[in-house]
Amino acid sequence: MSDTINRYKQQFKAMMKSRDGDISSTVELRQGAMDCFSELGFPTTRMEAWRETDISQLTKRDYSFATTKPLDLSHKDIAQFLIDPAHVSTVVIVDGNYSEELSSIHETASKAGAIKLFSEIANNEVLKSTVGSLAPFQKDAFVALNIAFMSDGIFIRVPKNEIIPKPIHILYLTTSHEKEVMFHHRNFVVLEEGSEATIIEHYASLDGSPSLTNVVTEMIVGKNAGLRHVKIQEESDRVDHIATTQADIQSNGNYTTSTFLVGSRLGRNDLRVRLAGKGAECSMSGLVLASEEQHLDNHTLIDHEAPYCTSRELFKGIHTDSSRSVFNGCIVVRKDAQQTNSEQTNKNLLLSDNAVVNSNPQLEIYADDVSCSHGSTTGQLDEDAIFYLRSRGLDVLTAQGLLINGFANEIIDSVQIGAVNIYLYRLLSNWLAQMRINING
Amino acid sequence: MLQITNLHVNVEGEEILKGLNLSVSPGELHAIMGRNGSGKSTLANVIAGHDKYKIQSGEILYDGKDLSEMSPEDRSLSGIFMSFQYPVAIPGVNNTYFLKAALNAQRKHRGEEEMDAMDFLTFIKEQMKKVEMGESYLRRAVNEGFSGGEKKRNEILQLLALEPRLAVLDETDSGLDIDALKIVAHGVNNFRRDDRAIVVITHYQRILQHMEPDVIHVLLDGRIAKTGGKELAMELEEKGYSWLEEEAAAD
Repeated sequence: MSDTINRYKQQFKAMMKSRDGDISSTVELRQGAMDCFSELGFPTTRMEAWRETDISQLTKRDYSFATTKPLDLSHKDIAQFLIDPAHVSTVVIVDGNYSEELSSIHETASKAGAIKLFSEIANNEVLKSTVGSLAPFQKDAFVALNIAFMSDGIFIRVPKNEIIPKPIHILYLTTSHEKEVMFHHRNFVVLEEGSEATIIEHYASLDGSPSLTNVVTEMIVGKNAGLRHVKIQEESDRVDHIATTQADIQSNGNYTTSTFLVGSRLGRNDLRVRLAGKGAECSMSGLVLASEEQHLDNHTLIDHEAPYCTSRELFKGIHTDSSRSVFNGCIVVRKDAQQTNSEQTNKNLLLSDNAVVNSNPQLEIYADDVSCSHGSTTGQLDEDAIFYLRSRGLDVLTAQGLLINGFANEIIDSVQIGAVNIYLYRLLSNWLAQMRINING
Repeated sequence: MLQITNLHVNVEGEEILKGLNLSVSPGELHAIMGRNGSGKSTLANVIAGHDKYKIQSGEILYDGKDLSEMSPEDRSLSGIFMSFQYPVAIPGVNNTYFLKAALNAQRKHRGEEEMDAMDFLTFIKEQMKKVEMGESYLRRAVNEGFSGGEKKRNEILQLLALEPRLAVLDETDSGLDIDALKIVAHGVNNFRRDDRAIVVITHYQRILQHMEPDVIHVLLDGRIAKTGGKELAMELEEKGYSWLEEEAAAD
């Protein structure tokens, strides 16, 4: 392990040299985080939270921070990853750098001054006092590594009672590199009281070079505010993707989040929500499409701190080939969180004898006046349903495809943003087409 | 059209059909009656091609072709339709989408042009009127949350839409109230034509009051124990099935 740490320390030194324009508070923050990472080291399967996520391949890889200038890309190059620009604002980040040419911010978002880069507002007090406050790095190696190495970040702040009607699509793209490179992205979203916005966080690769994407996203949903959040992760199967998201929801705030985990070789998604104020609501859903040798994890935590809060959680997974997946869903209801209403479900479809899924729904309840339920099912495609469809003239592959679509569509349908739904249906059908090739091949 | 000879079928290792013979010609409506466990549903499922039902010996010929060689979808495409005793609910799969996919699979096989969404809606709404189904069924998932009667009407809707040549109706009357029974029977009568054959499998004779069966067979312990005309149904209604068992035992 010490070799690995030393490698990152050297990387850190080299990076700091190349960034000598940084202000002192940033330098201190980075150094502090780097020290912390050196102390912690990478998590291992001996740690409870990482028991089922083996990252030894990731730690062996010689990732370095990207120094080469990002490729000059045109709209055509990235068209396959765009959501209909008539319906969304698009923020494009290529290899960690914001691309003004490829981005198009809709008037309603630019007028509100909602979207900023960290580098533009390095001395902003709000930024300094809040970034890192939700997801502290002291106990988390990947969060520490993120702060130490982060290139830039997206800062979205929606002022009080402002409504941004068009979703903001943040597209993180990685291109080809000669070396194994790493990117540490950071997103910070603040919805002030009574405001509303929709954010689509999207990760994709333009080719298959090996890289590490390590993301930290922090979100604050203020009083009576409403945030819809969609995360799409479809990076190439040579990418390791580690993400930590922390959302704090204040009283009567509403947070709806949907995660689509399709890409990467190793993908781990930690999603933590704190229902911090009375009457806050969280609706969390997710879809995992795991194939070949992929390892895809969702680790969710919904922490009911305040009374009268509601949470709904539904994660589904489709697992094929030799893929491995984990669903760890924890709901905590604290002593003061009376009148909590919570429901958690995990459903998995296993399409191959070699695919493995570990599903661990957990409830920790310390209050006495609550209504909570959880459940988990894992099974194969319903043979009776397949026979029913075949008896109506549909071939086996079509029948399977219909059932898989039916299973997955419940999650996509729940997104309810027309242009995004269209993108997700296409993502699913491409995945299915790929899977058919695997079955037939 | 359908020629079954000395058919022996096992389900999970147990012999259910024990030498069944049946011959059905175009234009005919056959009723197959029998108690629970006599092998009625096995007969329907083995014709449709469910792989849980294993043919041990004997044969099923359809238009002279050996059915055991054909997949369930090929049987369907060549004109065989089974109305399920327990239609399967398929969550997440929209009923319209399913019906359209099924119809277009048939049309493609027949060398006809596939129907587009607009034409299909006009077509299916017309068929739905015949079985008194409201348009809301088109927006729901296949059979999900349907009552027993709604599921059976959805089966008859598929019968009318897919226009098979041989229809096997497996206890389509069970669990229906009298109004639903009449609607289903009406749908089947609507379907009847000289070039089509129908096999109605039932426990009770009451659905036969609303249809005109040409032949009635009684299935007993995996064999056809008796064949007769409509009067046989009345006799069974009066005397039950036990006299046939005694008759069979005496043989």
